[in-house]
Amino acid sequence: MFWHRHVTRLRKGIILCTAVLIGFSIHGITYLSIPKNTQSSYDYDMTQYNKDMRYALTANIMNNPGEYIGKTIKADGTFFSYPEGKDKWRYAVFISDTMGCCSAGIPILMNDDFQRPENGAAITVSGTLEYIEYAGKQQISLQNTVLTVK
Amino acid sequence: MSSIQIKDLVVGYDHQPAASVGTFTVSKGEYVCIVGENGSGKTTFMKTLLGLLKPVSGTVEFNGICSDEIGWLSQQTAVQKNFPASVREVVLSGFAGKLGYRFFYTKQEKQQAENNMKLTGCIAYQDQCFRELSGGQAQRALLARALCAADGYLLMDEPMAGLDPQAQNTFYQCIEALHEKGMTILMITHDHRSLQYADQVLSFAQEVKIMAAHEYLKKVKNVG
Amino acid sequence: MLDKLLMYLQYPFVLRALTAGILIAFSASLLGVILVLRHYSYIGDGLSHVAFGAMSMSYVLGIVTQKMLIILPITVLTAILILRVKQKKVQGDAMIAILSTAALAIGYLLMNVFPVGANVSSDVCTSLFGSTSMLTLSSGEVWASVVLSIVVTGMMIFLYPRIFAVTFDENFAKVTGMKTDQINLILAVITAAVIVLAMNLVGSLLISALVIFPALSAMQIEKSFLRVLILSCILSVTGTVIGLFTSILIGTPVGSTIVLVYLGIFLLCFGIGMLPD
Repeated sequence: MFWHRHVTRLRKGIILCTAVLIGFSIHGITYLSIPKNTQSSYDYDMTQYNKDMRYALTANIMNNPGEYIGKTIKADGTFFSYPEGKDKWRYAVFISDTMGCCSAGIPILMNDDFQRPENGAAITVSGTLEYIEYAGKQQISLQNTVLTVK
Repeated sequence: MSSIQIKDLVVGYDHQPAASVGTFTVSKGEYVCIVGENGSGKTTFMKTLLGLLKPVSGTVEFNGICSDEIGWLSQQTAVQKNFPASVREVVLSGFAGKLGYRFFYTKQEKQQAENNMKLTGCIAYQDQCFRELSGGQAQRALLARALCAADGYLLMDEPMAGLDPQAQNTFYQCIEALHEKGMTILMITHDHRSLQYADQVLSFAQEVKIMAAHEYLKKVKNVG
Repeated sequence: MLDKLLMYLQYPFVLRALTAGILIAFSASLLGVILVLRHYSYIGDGLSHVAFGAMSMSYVLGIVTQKMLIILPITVLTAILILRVKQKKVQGDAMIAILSTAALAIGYLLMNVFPVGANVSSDVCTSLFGSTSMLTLSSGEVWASVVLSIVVTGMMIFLYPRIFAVTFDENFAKVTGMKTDQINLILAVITAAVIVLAMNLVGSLLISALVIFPALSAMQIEKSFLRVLILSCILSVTGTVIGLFTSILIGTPVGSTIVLVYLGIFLLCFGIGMLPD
C-alpha cells in the first residue's frame, strides 16, 4: 500500500519534471531578451563553439545569407585559394565538423597586398559579412578581413 | 430468413485438407455446439466460416448477414498478452467494426459496452491493464467484447477455458439468455454441459456430422 | 553555462533544429507505439536504409534536387510490402532485415561504382547519423515537419478507435466488419512518409530511436493505450530537448546525444515499472 502511493508520486514527479523542462525551454526562447554577447566583441565568435556548431553556423551562413548580413564573425579554419584568370585570386576559409565528414567555406576578401599562405594552412579570420557581386549574383563574403596564420 | 449455408465444405490450411465438413445450414436463432477431439479441425472450420481461411473446396454463404453483426471469441493471441490497454478500451473495441463513416464511438455504444461488462462480470476491473489479468478475467473481458460486436451472431472457440465452475455457470446462463433473445450461437466446446442448451451438434469425429442435440446426447450415453 | 545556452537559442538555426526536432519526435513516437506493438520495432531503421538506397539510386541517375520523387515512392512501396503483405515464409522482422541490409549495400555500392561528386558523401554521413543535418535545416524543411505532425496527429485522433482495434487484434477487427486493409495501408504510407522526412532531417540513427524508445519507456509504466500514447509523446519531446541542449553545450553530436538521453529515460522508466504497485 505504501509502495502504491510511492509509485504514483514518482510518476507524477516525472511528468512534473518534463513539464518544467518544456516550460523552461519555451520560456527561454520567448521571454528572456538576451543581452549582446559581452564576452566577445563579435556577433558570432566561432572560436568559442564546438566543431559541429562551427560547421553548422558556416553552412547556415552560406545557405541563408540574409540572416547574417552585417554581422561580425571570428573563425578558425583552413585556408584555400584558387586563381581566377590572370593575377587574380579568390580566397576562402573552410570549416568542417568534428568528424571531418562535412565542410563548408566562406569566401573572404583581402587587400591587394595580401600575402597568400599555402592552401590548407590553419588560419584565424575575423570580419564583417556583406554581399558582393560575383558572376552576376549576390554572394555573401567576409569583408574587412583580418587574417592570421597559426 | 437469414442463415449460414455450408455446401460440400472441406476446410484446411494451404490447400491441405483437415476436415471434410459436408453440407448443412445454420438458421437464425439456432444454438450449435461444435465438439470433437483436439486437432480434428474445429478451429479451422470456425476460421473458415469467419473468412480468415479459404476453404480447400466447397462454399460458405452468409445469407442476409453482414460481418458487422458477428461477434467472435477466439483463443488469445500473443499480442493481447503484452498489450497496454485497459479492459474498458478492449471491450469498447468490439464496436470498431460498426463505425462505418463515423470516427468515434457513440454514448450508446459506450453504455452498451458497460452493460456487457456487467453481464460478463468484468466491470469490477474495467480500468485495470489487460496484461495484468488472469486467464479467466481476460476471458470475461473478451466475451464482453464479442458481445459488443455480436448483433445476432456469436461464434466462440472454447469460451470456458480457464474459468472456474462458478464462472462457467454464469457464462452458460448469460449465453442462454442471449439465445432466448434470438442470438445465433456457434460454440466450440469440450464441455458436455453446453449440450443441454444446444439445438444442434456438429461433431468432428471420424466423420463430421451434424445432428440434433438430443440425438447426440443419446449417442454419447449409449457409447459411454 | 545557462547564458551560453540562451545565446545559442537566439540563433535561427538552433530554433529550427529545436522546432523540427520536437515535431518529428512527437510524430515518430506516436507511430512508434503502434509499430512496437505490432513487433515492427526495427522498421524505422529498415525503412531509412531503404530510403538511403533510393537516395543513392537517384544520385546515380543524376536527380539531385528532385530526389524525393524517387525516394518517397520507393520507401512507401517498401513500407506497404512490409506492413501489408502477409505471407508465412518470411516474417515481419526477417523481411525488414532483408530489405534493409540489401538496400544499404546497394546504396553504398552504387555510390562507389558511379562517381557522383563530393556533396554525396556528406549526404551519406548526414542521412545516417544526422548530426549536422539537424543544425542546417531550411525553413522549408521545418514547415514540412509542421505539416507532417499535423497529419500524423490528425490521423491518430480521428482514426484512434480503428487503429486501436487493428493493433490489438487484427483478426477480430476483420471478422467483425472493419476494413483492416485500408487502415494498414494508411499506416504504411504515413510511416514511410515520417521516416523519409525524419531521415533527411535527423538521420537514420535518431529516427530508429524515436520510433522505439519513447514507446517502450511509456509501456513500462502506463496501463491504458491512450495513456501510453500521451506519455510516449511527452518523453520523446523531453528527450529531444534535453539531448539537443546538451549536445550544443558540450559539443557532442546531436543524434547520438539524444539517443543516449532516451536510453537513460528508458532505464528510468524500466526501474519505475519494476517497483511493486
